[in-house]
Amino acid sequence: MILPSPAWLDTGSNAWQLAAATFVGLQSIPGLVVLYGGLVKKKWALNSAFMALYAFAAVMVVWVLLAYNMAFGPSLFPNLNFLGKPLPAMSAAFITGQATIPLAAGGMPPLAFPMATLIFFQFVFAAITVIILAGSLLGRMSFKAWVIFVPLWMILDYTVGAFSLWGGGWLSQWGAQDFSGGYVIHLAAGVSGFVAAAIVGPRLQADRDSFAPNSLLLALVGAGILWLGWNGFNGGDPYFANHDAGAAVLNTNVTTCVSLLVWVLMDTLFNGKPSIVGAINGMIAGLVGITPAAGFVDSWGALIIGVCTGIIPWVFMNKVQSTKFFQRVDDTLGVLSTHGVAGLLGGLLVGVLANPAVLEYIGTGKDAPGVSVSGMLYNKGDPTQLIHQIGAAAFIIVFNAIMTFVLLRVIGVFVKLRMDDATLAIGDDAIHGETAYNFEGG
Amino acid sequence: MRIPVARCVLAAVALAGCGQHGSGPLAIPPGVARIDCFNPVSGYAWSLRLDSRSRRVDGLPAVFEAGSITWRADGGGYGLDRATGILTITRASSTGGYSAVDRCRAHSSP
Repeated sequence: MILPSPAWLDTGSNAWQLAAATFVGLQSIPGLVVLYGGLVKKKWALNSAFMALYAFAAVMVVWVLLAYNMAFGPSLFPNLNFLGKPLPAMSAAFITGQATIPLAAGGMPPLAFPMATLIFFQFVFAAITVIILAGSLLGRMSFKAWVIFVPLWMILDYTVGAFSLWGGGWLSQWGAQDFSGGYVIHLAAGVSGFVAAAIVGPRLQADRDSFAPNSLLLALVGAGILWLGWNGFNGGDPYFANHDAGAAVLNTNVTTCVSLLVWVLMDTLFNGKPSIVGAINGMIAGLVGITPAAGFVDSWGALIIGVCTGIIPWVFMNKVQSTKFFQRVDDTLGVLSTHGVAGLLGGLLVGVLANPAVLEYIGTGKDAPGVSVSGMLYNKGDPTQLIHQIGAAAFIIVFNAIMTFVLLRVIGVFVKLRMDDATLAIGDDAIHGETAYNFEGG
Repeated sequence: MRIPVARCVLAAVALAGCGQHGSGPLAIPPGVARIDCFNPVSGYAWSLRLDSRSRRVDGLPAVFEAGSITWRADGGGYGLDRATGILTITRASSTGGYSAVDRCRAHSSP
């Protein structure tokens, strides 16, 4: 008898996981590629898009060669559990075998898809992290320096946060939660992007003074792909096509809609006009804010998170990042606000709003009722989960700030991190010999 | 998911009837002791074997302190509060860590 798949494989979960991974991949290419390409000045459209395109390709190579196992493989330091062993994830036996995360396997059901699916699913998350980080550096970072930075940051920085929270590492053993990457992805990208922006240096002053988007319609196309792609981002993280995947998708959209509306309201009340760029930022802040909580809160919690992400990152972007102190750092797209602050906010709100009735997995016997999280609201004011969330955030912030600083200082010894002013004045044509729009080409 | 109320009640009654040593739900006698536990949601009852002399729980190394006993098993961290009998199990999963809470009492004989 010939069988289509091993007995452990569930076709529904495998299909959903591959589809969810593809959704997340589409968020990067073309989602962020065209979002960045549209949001920047015309002369920077191609370089910005290319930074994202390059990162997607470069991350995949280091991911299968060693970074996947550093993030999700067996522990390199079993007593510390902050990093996995740098091993390839490429052999036939490995990629077609049943997926498992060695240190987390005891706390979840056996996975019902092959390792290849898990490697690809986690790759698209890794790739989008460094692409989000790129948003802080648009319009001046040397492409050569970016080419070196991406794989090194992936290996030395991303893997530590991913292993600590998702690979069964020390933060997860302690009890910290990050459903889909509020900390591992967005807080890490926001902090690292801000530190990188400080070290690389600012855009030309002329570009800082005038950086109007070259195509808001193109940016909206990217934003739309980003939004709906988030259904795979958060819906894929239970690793099963189960009830919690549905809850995560619904919550993602509740928060995002509320956040977008609140951000537009804030723009209208305090800046005088409802802005399309503001709506995109509100959308992103909502998507990011619900990410660490999507499968742990009910839809009331999702609504509250949406109100918070429509206000607090708005205040940070419009009031705090516009102060003299923060203006010393040129965070091109305000990644610190829309990803760093929103990711931190969502992660902390898990410690308050997580409803234990929202089960990620069903538990029986001594494991009943199953995998869930209890925030202060549902746990007689017990702050334990909130403390775990604060501790995990502190680690991610400090580690990313230090590692990104060191990494760029070392790279800066060998190549210039910032393009020279003559190249910055021209943009795409000087760097790539190409321009985004050629209306005279026939 | 329906909670089997009858099983919960039966398990609770059974545990309430277990032998007692001193005051409190978890006054653990010296040497080897059996601890009866149950899950308050499912009513599932199970037991642990504590050996305070060799500092082991179910044969695994454990840390015996005045307020708690902690050990690791099945990829998770177990913490037994000696005053309340509350057993907290913290495990890592693919999205981070989570805790489950069971309740325990000392049994009369090992």
